[in-house]
Amino acid sequence: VTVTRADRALVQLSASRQGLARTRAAFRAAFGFDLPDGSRRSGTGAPIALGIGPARWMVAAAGPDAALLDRVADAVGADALATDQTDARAVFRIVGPGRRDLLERVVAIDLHPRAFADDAVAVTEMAGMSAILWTDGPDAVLVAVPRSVEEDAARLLDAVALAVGHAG
Amino acid sequence: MTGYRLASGGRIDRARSLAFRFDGKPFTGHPGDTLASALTAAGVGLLGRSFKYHRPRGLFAPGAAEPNALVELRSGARREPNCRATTVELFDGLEAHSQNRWPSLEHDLMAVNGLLSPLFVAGFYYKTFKWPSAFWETLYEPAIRRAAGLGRAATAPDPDTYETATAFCDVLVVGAGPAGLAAALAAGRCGARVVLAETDRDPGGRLLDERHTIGDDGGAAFAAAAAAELATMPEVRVLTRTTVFGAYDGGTFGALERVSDHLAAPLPHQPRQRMWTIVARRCVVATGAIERPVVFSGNDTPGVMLASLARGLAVRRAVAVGRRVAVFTTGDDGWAAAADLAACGVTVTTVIDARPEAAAGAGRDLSGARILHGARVREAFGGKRLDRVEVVTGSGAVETVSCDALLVAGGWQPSIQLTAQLGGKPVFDANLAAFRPGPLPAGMTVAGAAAGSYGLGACLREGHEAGVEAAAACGFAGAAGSPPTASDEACGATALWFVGGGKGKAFVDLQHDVTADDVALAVREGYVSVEHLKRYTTLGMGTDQGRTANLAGLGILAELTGRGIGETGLVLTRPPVEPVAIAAFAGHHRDRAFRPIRLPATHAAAVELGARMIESGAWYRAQYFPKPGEDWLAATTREAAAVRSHAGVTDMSTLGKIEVAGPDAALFLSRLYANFTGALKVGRCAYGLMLREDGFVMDDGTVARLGDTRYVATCSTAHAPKVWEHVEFCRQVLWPDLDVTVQSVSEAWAQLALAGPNARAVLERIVDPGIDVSDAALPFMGYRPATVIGGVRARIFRISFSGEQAYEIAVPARRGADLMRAILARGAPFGVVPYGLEALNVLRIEKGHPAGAELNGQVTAHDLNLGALADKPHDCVGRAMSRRAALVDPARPRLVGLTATGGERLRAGAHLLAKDAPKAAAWDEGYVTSVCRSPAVGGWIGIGYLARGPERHGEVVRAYDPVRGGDVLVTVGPACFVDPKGERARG
Repeated sequence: VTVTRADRALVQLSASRQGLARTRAAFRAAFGFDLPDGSRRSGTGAPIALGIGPARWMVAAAGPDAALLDRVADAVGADALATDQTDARAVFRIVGPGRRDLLERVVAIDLHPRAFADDAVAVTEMAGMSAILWTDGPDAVLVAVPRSVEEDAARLLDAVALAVGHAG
Repeated sequence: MTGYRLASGGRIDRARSLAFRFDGKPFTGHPGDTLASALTAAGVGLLGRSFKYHRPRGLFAPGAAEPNALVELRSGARREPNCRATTVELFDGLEAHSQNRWPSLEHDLMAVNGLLSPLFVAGFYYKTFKWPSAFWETLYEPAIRRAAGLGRAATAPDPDTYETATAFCDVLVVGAGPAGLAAALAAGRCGARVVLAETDRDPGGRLLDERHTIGDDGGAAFAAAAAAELATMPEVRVLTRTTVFGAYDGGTFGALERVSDHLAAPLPHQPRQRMWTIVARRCVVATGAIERPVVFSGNDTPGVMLASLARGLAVRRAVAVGRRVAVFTTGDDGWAAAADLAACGVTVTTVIDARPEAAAGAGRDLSGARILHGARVREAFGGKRLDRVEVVTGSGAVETVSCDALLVAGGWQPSIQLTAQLGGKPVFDANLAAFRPGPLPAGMTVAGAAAGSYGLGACLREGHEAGVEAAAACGFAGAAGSPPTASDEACGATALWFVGGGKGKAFVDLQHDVTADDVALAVREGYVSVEHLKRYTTLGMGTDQGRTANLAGLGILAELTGRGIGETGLVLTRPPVEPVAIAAFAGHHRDRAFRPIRLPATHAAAVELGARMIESGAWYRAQYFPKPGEDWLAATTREAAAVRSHAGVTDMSTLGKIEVAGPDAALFLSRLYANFTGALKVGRCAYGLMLREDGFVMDDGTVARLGDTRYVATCSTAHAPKVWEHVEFCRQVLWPDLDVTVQSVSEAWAQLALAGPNARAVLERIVDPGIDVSDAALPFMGYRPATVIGGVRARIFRISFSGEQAYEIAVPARRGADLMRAILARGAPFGVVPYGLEALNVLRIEKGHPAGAELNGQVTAHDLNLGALADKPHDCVGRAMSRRAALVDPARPRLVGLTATGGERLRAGAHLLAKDAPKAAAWDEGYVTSVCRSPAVGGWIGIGYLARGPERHGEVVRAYDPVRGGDVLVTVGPACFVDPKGERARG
């Protein structure tokens, strides 16, 4: 298993109860797919949308994308709030057959395919840090943590990856 | 006891030798040995000294039940006390020491305690150390602490790492004996996700320790085949060397995996132990049973042991525990053990069966052994090595039987701790003379010996059925196959707790040296409740948790009180079932990783500048930026003075930042803030004071209007998480009808404060060309978007925490360090300096701005002298309660400034007393919240709360700090020491 940093442009989108339907419609019109219900991922290319709370999503690009904020904000207009969270999160990409072995040591969620489907998203806690998890292709998981704890998260993930890779 | 290695058999690798040391002496063993088996094979029978009387002790029980053979393992930082020799896997270079003896195990002078045994009875401490009370802390407690304890913990930090992990499964099977293996096989074949946890290195349980036939195979071969099949199932995880130690709510279990305890040291990057949280939809407890002892005089003599221990040593480890072995049994299993030993080549000389008829003995191949029916061992002799036992025969005659090992088989007690940890009281089964599991937690079943089904055939059947049932309950109804078959051997036993008539001590709890006489004494003194007995005598309170003691103690108590055992009851059980190192619970969370530490956006720049860092709440912040030769006070004073005279820059990124948007955003904010009416123009900022529902102040900060329906609010670093929670609660629960949405952008933005009379001049060199930051374009409490340092988008707020002309410049967080570097470089001609948390504090104290120390949850707007500001007519959280008479009482302590009259150091936390009042709590009139040495004032100042404070300006009061010896006269004044009209900030 390997752990690498992943640059992902991130825009958080949230809507009021009153603006929810309009936001959904506007997003679909602009991006061609629906905002997901619940903790799911929608979209197959770039960007994707991750359900991270009630009427709250994280729109993620496949890499750096300085225009993403404006694209999302322009799409939803005044019906929703879009903020750039690219600098608010550090994203780690965990790749390889040992990714579940690594993740079970740092998060208390069930990542078995029966419980954590390909389009699943988890908003959880990782060693005292808030974390968003989602799959990225068949053999990778992305973990986003607050930027301020990036160093600690990296230290933890690297240490556990070494343990998994060596003796387990 | 004169143990030796059998010529053949066992599951050891005779081709390889492992060298180890015990008490400094060299020995060898083989892979597959435990420390206990290797020492026994080498003829070592004396392995420890008892806790209180320092009596010689040898092996007594198998596995985790062992009360005597506790050793210190390894050395230096890895030294670990109280390791049971029966569970320590032998490894090359192993180093073990006996403990609780001086000067040596063979010659322990502390054994003199045995002569004082009439004094050291149950309740000795309680009765002896009652008076004089002054002696308790000075004499008794230190002396007792020196004498207490069994081994020595390492004094150096643990060099190893530990992990925590979480596993989810459909079916958790605890124990990989015959029932557990059958359960795991059945559930796994059905397709369920299974976790099988086994304490031992190898699955098999009693199948490895006893000689059995399952189908056409031996028991050990069946276990190996089962393990091999489980290994082929992708949904089955077998955790060996793993003890499930606790059952918790919601199908959650705690388990400890000893990842590298069997090695001299962990491999690179390998943890020593791993703490598992296992979340299971169903659980099958197949933890087997523990053999019961019989209490008689001298039953602690080395060489007296449970039959199951000797059986396992012979069958699995190829070790004979003696050359003249006698068996004292109350049931059929003693015969089975004797037969297994004989089959392994151990000489069994005598079988002493307490029952008048021993039907199960018939057919066992014990030719040459003498059989005594209806007989009981009443005393064992030999000191450090058993040489004979005294037997009362069925006719009442007393005989001496020569033996060097006596195996005691008193029947079995199911291992049911896990079943009872959530409150299900075990039920006494008179037929088994043992406790069975009582009401079980939801989703738990018990199979095999743990359920009181001792026969091998029954264990396999029950395990299989439990596995099928558990899988089906989870929705997996695959083909489980047929259960493995084996005959049910006879396993009846009669209850026999105690044989009296001997002269020596008869031990109930060998680890804590609790005797049958101690139990009787406790009963005489009225401790007839089983819980009281436990605490009065310490029975069952050792590291073995009384596995071999509890039931015998209970049986004796029941006999003495004339009650049945069921009526007497069993002590409550709670996790963990075995001792667990604190390090395992901590996992990764130690040293630097004790908890996550948040680094501000400018951390890299602060490190480059040589900042001294400090943990401040969850953050690791620049405390000050020392120049050569400066201490913290000198650096802080210089930095604060530079801000007042020129300019300074500091990181305010740690503030909470919340964006609020929507048509009802202004209304939403007005309900959150006591002083904020919503009337704020785009491009303007306002101060905001937030109340709790009870009317006390929650936090303060600023609100800036970014656009028609969009605002950003800041809150204090200390209260940021709580404020965010409050804002979301208000939006989602209190006012869901408002058309508004919120987001935390705290991590997204770096926010730097640029303050000082030269701040604007520096700012003009930071913003991109064409951006006007003049006083007219960006007045005090103004806001404007901008780009800075070459196209970096920014928000500039003209707000001041220092009281100086100041700007807070927000940029995307990852550009924060760049902005800091640019400000310092481009602002150098204007004397700009970096300043840290200390100077930030000095500047705000000089201005009397409240922060975390002042907003302590106990103060009101009235206390902060903001009563009029906050008392607006609109509705907001906390408005009604803030008007309570008690909260606006003029006599309440209110915020004041304090100046040390003689220049002495002030300390936060000092209490304020009238100058001539007695120094006692009754005259306490307030307290100091924050202090600093103020370069602007030229001495120590502080702010704090003083009763009727605003009425007392000019009065001298006493700041009294009895904890640190402070007693300083201070002059009371306004909380603002610098520029009270606020002209500098507006300049």
